[in-house]
Amino acid sequence: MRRSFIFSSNSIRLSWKSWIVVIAILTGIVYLLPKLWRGLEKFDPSTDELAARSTDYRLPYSLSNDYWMFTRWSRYACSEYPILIIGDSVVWGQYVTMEQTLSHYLNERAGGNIFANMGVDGIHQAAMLGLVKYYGKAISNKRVILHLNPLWMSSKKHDLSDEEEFRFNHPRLVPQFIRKPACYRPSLAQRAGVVAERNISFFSWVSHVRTNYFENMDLQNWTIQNPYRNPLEAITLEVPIPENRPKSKPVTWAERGMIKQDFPWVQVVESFQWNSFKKLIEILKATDNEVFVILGPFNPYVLTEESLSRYNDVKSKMEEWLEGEGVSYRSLSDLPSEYYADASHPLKEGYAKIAEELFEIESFRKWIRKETAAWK
Amino acid sequence: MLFHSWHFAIFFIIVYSVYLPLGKTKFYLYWLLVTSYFFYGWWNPLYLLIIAYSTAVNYYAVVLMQRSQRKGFWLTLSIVNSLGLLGFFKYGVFVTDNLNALLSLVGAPLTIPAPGILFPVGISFYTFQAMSYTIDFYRGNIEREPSFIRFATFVSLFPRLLAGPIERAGNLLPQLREKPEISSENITDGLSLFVVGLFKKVALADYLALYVDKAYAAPGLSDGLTLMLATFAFCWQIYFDFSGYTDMARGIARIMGFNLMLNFSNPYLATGLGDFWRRWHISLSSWFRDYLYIPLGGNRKGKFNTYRNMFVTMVVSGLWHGAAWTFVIWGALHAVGRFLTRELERTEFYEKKVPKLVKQLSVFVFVTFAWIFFRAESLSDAALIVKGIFTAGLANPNFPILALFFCLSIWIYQFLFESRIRKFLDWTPLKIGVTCLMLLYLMIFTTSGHEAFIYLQF
Repeated sequence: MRRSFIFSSNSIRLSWKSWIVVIAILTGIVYLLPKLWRGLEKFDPSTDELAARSTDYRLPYSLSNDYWMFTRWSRYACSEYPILIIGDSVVWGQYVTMEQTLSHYLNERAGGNIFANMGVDGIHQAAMLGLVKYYGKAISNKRVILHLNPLWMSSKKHDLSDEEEFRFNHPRLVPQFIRKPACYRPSLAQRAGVVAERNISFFSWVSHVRTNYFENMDLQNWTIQNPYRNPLEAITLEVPIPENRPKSKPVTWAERGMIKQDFPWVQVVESFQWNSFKKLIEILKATDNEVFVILGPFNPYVLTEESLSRYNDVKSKMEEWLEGEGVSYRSLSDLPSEYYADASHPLKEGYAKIAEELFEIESFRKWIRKETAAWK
Repeated sequence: MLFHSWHFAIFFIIVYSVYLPLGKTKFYLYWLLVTSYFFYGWWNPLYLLIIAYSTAVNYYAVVLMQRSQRKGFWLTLSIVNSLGLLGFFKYGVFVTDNLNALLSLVGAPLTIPAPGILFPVGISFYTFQAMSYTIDFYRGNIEREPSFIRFATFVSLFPRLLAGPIERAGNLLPQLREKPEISSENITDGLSLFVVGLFKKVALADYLALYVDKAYAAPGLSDGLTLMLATFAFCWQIYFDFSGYTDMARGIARIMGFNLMLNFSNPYLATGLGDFWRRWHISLSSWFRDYLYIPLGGNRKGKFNTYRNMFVTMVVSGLWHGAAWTFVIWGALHAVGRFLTRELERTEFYEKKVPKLVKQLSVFVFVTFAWIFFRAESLSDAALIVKGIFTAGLANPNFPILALFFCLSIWIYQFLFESRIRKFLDWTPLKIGVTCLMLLYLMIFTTSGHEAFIYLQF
């Protein structure tokens, strides 16, 4: 005998037919909303008013964690530029304006819209792998310059191979379950959320809405900070224009007061970052991209003698592997000391010098000439 | 393992996929018991010893009652044991703290060490549930449950284990004796309940907590209006939190084919405090009515005794919620409020002339005021908040308009639900639209952080 059941103190009691309608509506919204949003939210780097030239566009710094925007930018870049430069803030241009970045000087030499600045602040190799794998699916059948910043292997902590838990850049891009870094211990809910975000574009769109319109907060925390603002008004349907100024003060590392560092460096065989970078090359190759690796720049003057020797050892091992795998690469020469802003970022003179160096290399010229009609 | 966590989602998927085929066999009870114990042991495996002990004592007390002529003795023993357990685990620190304060007051050079024990979550809920079985058997209201496994499942059934509803043996045990009825209606009902509960907890209670926690953490630093709005927000926070938990518990149970009792019925529409307690935490207030208030004499022995019984019941109810003087005051305040409204309700003027809305708002204001003592960290904080509300001036409270919009919308919804135009709320497109909005809001605007339910601490 079943007892009578008092359902609830509200009317929200749906039949299975109603539930099917709910599921259909939600599935439609989840599938269509991110697509519709792309039409509603204006994003056209070619008309960017602050960029001196449309070729110099870089993602706004505030959107460094907005991977949905990276997807949009990579789609745009793939359709407009023959060559993409992927890397961290060295490529993005931490200490320089948009007209002083590596992509700018390379374009200047190439004389056209050839190189797209796909740099993202703080994107270490493991994160770069995740970024390309999950959010850069448009990158196929392209030429890709991959920047390898050796700084990410300068210690176990940078390499994410430390056992001790700590906060690091772009945790949403590193492996969440299998082969995840030992120092990364989020809750199951956080990891599941990350996996959902990677695989269902609706959730990366949600993350974009929060980053772009709600100061990187959920709505609840945002309204606590902005109690009288209308959340709907905050959604302006505009992507911020990148600020055309250096993110950090453009002074040399010596002026900054940096002292010699004794980085211990992580051996390449054990390095989580290096192994991630190798996988990244594999993935890019598997999607018919042609990869050119730029190893460095790295400031040798900031290292102690012992550290420099360890660094050279690590570098030669990486070169050996690239050589062995037939990956085109350039191990950048040391720049003059005053061209470095810190351990790995050049100042504008440094970028110009790197562009000059690359264009002096026959193999590089050949590599870009393959596809670039604008090459002179 | 909270209902709105990934752990629970995985747990439930596994449990349910085995439960479905087992539901048609006699083994489903074993599965329910094992999974309920796993669910509870997830918090701390040591808790299992306490629940198993409590279950065994209550079960065998009834066995002995049936075999012996000294029924009262075995009942007393089981009640003393249950209250002893509660007293030790829940009130040990409170009692020693107060005794030490007393000793220090009289200058005695003695300090009683506080028991360094963890408070087992849900102990107040399952202890009361087990006690109701023993008392109901003693009164002849139910028959002895022959199966220990079934009784242990009754005490520990995981959807309601941590924070109720406190089920009666007369309702839940018969359901456990039958094969669970898993129909499409049960599943869709369960889902409906769960979604509403999830929205209440994640979108509303946790949201309001952001404002309340800040104001109540340092009441001395807030102005009167902020404290007033924080108290108003807490009034809704605790309702959304606890009723949201209950909705989820009832939804999960419903999906599994069980009907748990209604625990909340729009309490902020109550027209008197008696009415409030018939709408708020119904399973607990009816428990106290049946096992404390009525045995004390109820309202049968004159006005004085009636009020004395009410007072005792409300103060004990306050203590049930937590081992602190703030809860005692909260219970006492409700008792006083109950006397006043009871007397008022008997006057013709109040009954016939005072508009219903005025009664409802008066009860709401009183209940909200009493929540100050429930929420405050200490008596001195509570005093500071009460004083602050009246004397700390009015500054910009920075209370989010969106939160106010949510609270008022839901209040209006509840008024409509209990009005003559309720049928309009039953309009299917409206229900579908509201459900879609709730789910979309949860997906887009809330975080994946998990705040624990307030009532788990009781």
